[in-house]
This record gives sequence, structure tokens and C-alpha cells, in this order.
Amino acid sequence: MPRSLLFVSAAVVALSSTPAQQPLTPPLPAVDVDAAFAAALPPRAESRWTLIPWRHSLTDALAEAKALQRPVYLYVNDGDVGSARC
Amino acid sequence: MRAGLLSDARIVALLRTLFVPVHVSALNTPHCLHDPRDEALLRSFVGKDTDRFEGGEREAFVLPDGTMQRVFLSLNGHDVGAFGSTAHQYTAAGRRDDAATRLFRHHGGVALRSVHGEMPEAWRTLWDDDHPDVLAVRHEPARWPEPAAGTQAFRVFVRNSYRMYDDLHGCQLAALPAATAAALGAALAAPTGRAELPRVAFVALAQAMVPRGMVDTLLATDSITGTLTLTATSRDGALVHGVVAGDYALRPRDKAEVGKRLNAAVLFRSSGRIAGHFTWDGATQTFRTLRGVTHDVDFAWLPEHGGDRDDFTPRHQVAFEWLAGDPRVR
Repeated sequence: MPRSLLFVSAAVVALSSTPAQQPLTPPLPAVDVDAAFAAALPPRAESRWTLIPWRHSLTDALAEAKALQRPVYLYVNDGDVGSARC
Repeated sequence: MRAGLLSDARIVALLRTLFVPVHVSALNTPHCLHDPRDEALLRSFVGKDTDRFEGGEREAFVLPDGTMQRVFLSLNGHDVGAFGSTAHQYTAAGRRDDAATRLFRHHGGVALRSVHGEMPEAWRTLWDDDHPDVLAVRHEPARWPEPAAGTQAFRVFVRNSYRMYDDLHGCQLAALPAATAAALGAALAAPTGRAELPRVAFVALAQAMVPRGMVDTLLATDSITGTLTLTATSRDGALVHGVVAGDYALRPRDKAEVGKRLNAAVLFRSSGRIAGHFTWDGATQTFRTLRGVTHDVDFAWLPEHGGDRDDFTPRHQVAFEWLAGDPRVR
């Protein structure tokens, strides 16, 4: 076979072996949703304040304190304390 | 939240046993008070021997006869009006240090002695880490907010750094009209199997995603962009399984959006992608599960004077889940 034909044949074989085209849009990254969900929650050591039986009415709490003869522990902060937007 | 001493299991046990714990908003954000009567009541306590209750964390014990004791700041480690912090409020480790419980221990003891004449036995025993009630608190799971019976909501968890604070967090419900879930389900059941969260619901979700650290952040609607799409990937009878995908951008332009206390308000930008998964139950017309998380987040605080080199690396993580209120709970 002449060298030119060998070159063309080799070129044809090479072209047919090229990798498939890359997709037009990159694939979505793999995200471990459940692991990321757990990581976004505060650790238990920082979450026990949710276990306190908070009253959200100082007026009613003072009446309760008088009935029970217990001191009120009053925690004040600006903003919406329930959602920690404060 | 900078919970500090309030996440100490001993203090939780003590508050449950010996006190009436109350958590209210300050007088500079009266619209956040749950009981409108409390504004006048809290103002009646304002005085030179107490505090103005106009911003920042304040604590006090109030006796059953209505007498307010000395106001103090556990996270700063001093009484109001005093200086020289002995507590370290900027880091989670500092907030869990015993220094953060010192003032509670002192003033709580004074209050109890005032009421009872002598210290109740529980005050001594519940400071023991090995007390059964303290151990029970240590093993109890956190109680995050739940939607009311008959309602639905996204429960949104946020965790972020805020300049000199290493790790703040918040949890908030973003209410969803019942029709929203039904419409999503109908679209998922259709041949296209694709549903987009309506703009109104997306904005509600995004408002709950804001990084914590400022007072009652409420973004303008046009400071929020993004979409959230549910796409079915498989069906199993009445169940539709699928993926959640989307993107978001929170770009407030006015300090009034980011905080009600302007001297503690810092603009920020946060954008990124959302990924998750869901299972829709066509038989009950509810989501069995729906979870989403942010990823590839670009987040920065934008302080007016460029910030401080000791600020912690900006970090903003969000996770959310769909919940329906328990109909058995009244």
C-alpha cells in the first residue's frame, strides 16, 4: 500500500477513535443532601435552649410565678427571638 | 442564636424545676413581642437600677412580687452598667465555658434565697453533671418549631459565621398555603413530572434563609432572586420520587433591610445553588419527604469600613424540609 494511503487510513482510524463530544452543559455536581442537611443544623450542645419551657408572655409569666412562688428568669433580646433573627 | 449558658444541660434542668423562664423581644422591636401587653409592662421596669431594654441580650430574675433584680449579661460576663468582660461570646467554645454561667449562678441564687429564705435543695443538686435530670436533658433531642395542625411549612435551618462570631444559627418556619403543595403535586403527577415553586413561596423560603447575626432581617422582595424546581425521576404507584434543584441570590441594598438595629446592620451577599430530593404521595396529596440544601455558595459580609482581619471566614449554610402540622396536636 502506498505511504499516502496508509497515512489517510491511519487518519481515518484516528478520527473515528476520538472521544465523544463534551456535553453542552456540565453535569450537576453530586451533593450528599442528607449529609449537608445534618451539617446545617447546630450541634446538640448548642441546641438545648430549645428544651427550655419558654413562656413568651411576660404578663402571664408573672402571674404564674406568683401562683407558684417561683422567680421569673427573664431573657430579653431584640428581634424575633423564636427564629433567632435577633 | 448565641445560646451559650442556655444550652448548658444543668441550666435547662434548673429552669424547668425552679423558675418560670420567659423569652421576650426588646423595646426597640416591639412588633416582635408575642403579647402586646408586654410592651407597657417591660417599660414599667425601665429605670436607672435596671435597664432600658432597647437592644442586645439582657437577663434578669424577677421575684413573684414583681421586683426585678439586677440586670446582667451572661454572654458579656458582667452586670449591666459594668465593664470588663470575663465571658467570650464570639465563639461557640467560649459561649459554652463555665464563665458564661457565672452570673446566672450568682443572681439565680440571690433570687431563690429572696423567695424561699434558704436555697432549695434542687439548686445544689442540679449543678451536678451526673444528676439524672441533667443527663436526661443531655440526651433529649432539640425541639425545633413545627407547623400548627392543618398547616404546612418549610422548616429552614441556617448556620453561618458573622464577622467576629464563628458560628450562629437559626431555625424558622416559612408557611406554605395548602394550595401550593397541591399544585406542585398535580404538576408532578402530570406527564411532564416537573413543578416550579411559585415566586411567593420562594420569597417566603428565601426570607427564612437569611444569615443570622442581625436584628430581624427582612429583605425587600426585589433583593431576592432564584428558582426552585421539582423534577420527577421515578414513580411507584401513587408515589413520585424526584430531585429538587434551583438557585438563589440574596442581595440587599439598604441597611434597613438587613437589621432593625442600624448600628449592628451589615449588608451581605449570598448566592448559590440548591439541591435536594422529594417523595410526593398522590394518595394523601402530601409530601412524604422534601429536603433541600444550598451548595456552591458565594457569601460575603459587606461592612462599610471593609471589616476586620480577625473576622471569621464567611460561611452560610442552609437546609430546609417540608413539614405538615400534626393533626393530633391541638
